[in-house]
Amino acid sequence: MTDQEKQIQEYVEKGLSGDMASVNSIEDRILRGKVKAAIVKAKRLGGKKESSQLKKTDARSSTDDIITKLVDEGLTGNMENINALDDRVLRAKVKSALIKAKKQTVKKSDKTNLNSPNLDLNKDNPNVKFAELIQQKFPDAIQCEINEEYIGIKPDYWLNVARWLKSDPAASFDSLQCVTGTDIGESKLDSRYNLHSMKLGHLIEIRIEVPIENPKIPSIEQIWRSGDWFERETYDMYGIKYEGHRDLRRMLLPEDWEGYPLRKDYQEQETYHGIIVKKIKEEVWD
Amino acid sequence: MDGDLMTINMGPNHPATHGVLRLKCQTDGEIISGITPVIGYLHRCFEKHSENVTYEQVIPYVDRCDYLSSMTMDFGYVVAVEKLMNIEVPEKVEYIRVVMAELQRIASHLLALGVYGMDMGAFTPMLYMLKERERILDLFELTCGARLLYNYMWVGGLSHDLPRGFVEMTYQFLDQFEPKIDEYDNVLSNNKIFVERTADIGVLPPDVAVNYGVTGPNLRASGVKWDLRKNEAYSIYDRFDFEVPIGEGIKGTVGDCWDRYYVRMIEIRESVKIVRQALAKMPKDGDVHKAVPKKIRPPKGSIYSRTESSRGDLGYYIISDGTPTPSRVKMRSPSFASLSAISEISEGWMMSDMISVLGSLDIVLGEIDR
Repeated sequence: MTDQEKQIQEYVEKGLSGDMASVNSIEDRILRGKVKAAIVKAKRLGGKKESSQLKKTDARSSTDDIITKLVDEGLTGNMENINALDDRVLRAKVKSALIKAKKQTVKKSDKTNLNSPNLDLNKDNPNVKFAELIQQKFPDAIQCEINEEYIGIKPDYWLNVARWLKSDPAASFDSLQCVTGTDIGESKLDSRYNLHSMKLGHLIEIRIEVPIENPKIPSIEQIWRSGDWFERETYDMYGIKYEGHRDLRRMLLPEDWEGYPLRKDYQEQETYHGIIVKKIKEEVWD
Repeated sequence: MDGDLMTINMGPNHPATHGVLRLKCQTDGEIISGITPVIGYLHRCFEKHSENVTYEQVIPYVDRCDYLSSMTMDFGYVVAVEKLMNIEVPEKVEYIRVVMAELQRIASHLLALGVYGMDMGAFTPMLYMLKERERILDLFELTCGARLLYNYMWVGGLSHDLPRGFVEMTYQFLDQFEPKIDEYDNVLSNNKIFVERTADIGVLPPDVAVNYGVTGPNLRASGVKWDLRKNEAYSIYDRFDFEVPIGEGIKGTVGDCWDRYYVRMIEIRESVKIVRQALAKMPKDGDVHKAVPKKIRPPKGSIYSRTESSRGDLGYYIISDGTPTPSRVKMRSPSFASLSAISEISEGWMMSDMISVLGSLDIVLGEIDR
């Protein structure tokens, strides 16, 4: 410990015992600032003096104990003690630890789902309900585990599944709400369809995964007419080729534009008809 | 000459295209046999930009997509992000949002109807309606300083609380505005020339409308009772008493241009009702910044959330990879789907009727091209 640190400690102890006059009378501005910061810190830690390294670790381990104890309580549903904590920092720590713990338990249950499917799934969820119906009707069409968020369909089966989804009276998905393309990484593109039934009022999401080298998906433009422009837009931005589309041209970009801008590996062309194309600045936000 | 087709090019700059839109019309004499819309003149790479900015920085871009209805656009976006992050918004914020969204709906419809009248040759109603729209913009300006692009709704809250006197001023506005709606009916809705040019023209059957993904007032005009504020009540819309108007074919056929016009007129009345109820029920106290998160960093996952903007179902597909920057933001804009149906609606009608059809769809190109 250097002399300065010793000095700071002395002043901090004085300050904490109420003698702020001597702290304020320190002539060195930097030293005074450091002392005051240390006092604030010490007060935040519940008035525990930061006098020695040993005591510090003591304090830390005791707060750790409190946190684990309170998190355990919180997980069982008892939030009273946590909310009654006076120390704001400690309370926030407990709460964030609680959220983390909750997330982990959720993840664990996710894993159990994968091992034994159809166990905890909500049968009323339209994504689950229709995935099961599709599986009965087209046994090989489903691409991934049945889940509550979406239905994964293999591209080869998509046209037949789509026709069935629109015409079957129990499904009657008469409205294609949205088609979203996305680059999911690992050289794969995703085409996501949000289908809605005006008649029955349910909403499902279909996802179709294709490799980025050869992205081909059958077009459903003739089943839902709204698919016409949505597919053209996705083709424009991601280069997914919708086979059977009668007018697959670029939608928002000029016809002679190069590349597909929303792919993650997209490189802007340098010039367009003699105009310099501005580079997109990559910024990292944190 | 019989059977020979001619191509007439309309746009990209034409007063009746409501923006920068080009329509390649195939005509047989004066009858339209097909339209190929060319869009993208206003493309500002909204979706690409969104991948490079934080969640809160997306909001000003969203504003600029539908610049005539920015409040409802913001509303849809913040609702989507809040769902993704599981944020519960204070009561007061919910009420203010509904008031703003409905005032915006009135303003947007007023412009749509006024300009539609002008397309049909009636200049005066536009001035009447824009006068009232100005008053609504004044209210917005008082609240957040901006008249067109507000950035008012934030994830978890609002940028500003209501200014002092806002509630009284809004009541004053509504009191003097409501009788004006009857005036509009007299001067435009029942005007013989206007009715002749819109009734029985450009009929959009309900099944075709649904197939093309047409939503909002355009779909309701075809007789389909579908309004997300009722059918999928987001925010606090389930607490208000209002009707969902549908086209009834009063002057002609269900789903004609006049119906699309008149549904908006009734919607203005309904929005006035909602604003009144919301103002009456609004809690006096509350901090509008209380639920605004310090850092917007939604958990990994994706969401498709839709709300009712002035022009129809506004959907946002947001994919989060757990960073402060969205991995993907896709906007499903209502005008995009409405415009895609124009060829189907206009086919077989005269060239001049096409202007009537285009105006009645109330498209905003900023939202189509994004």
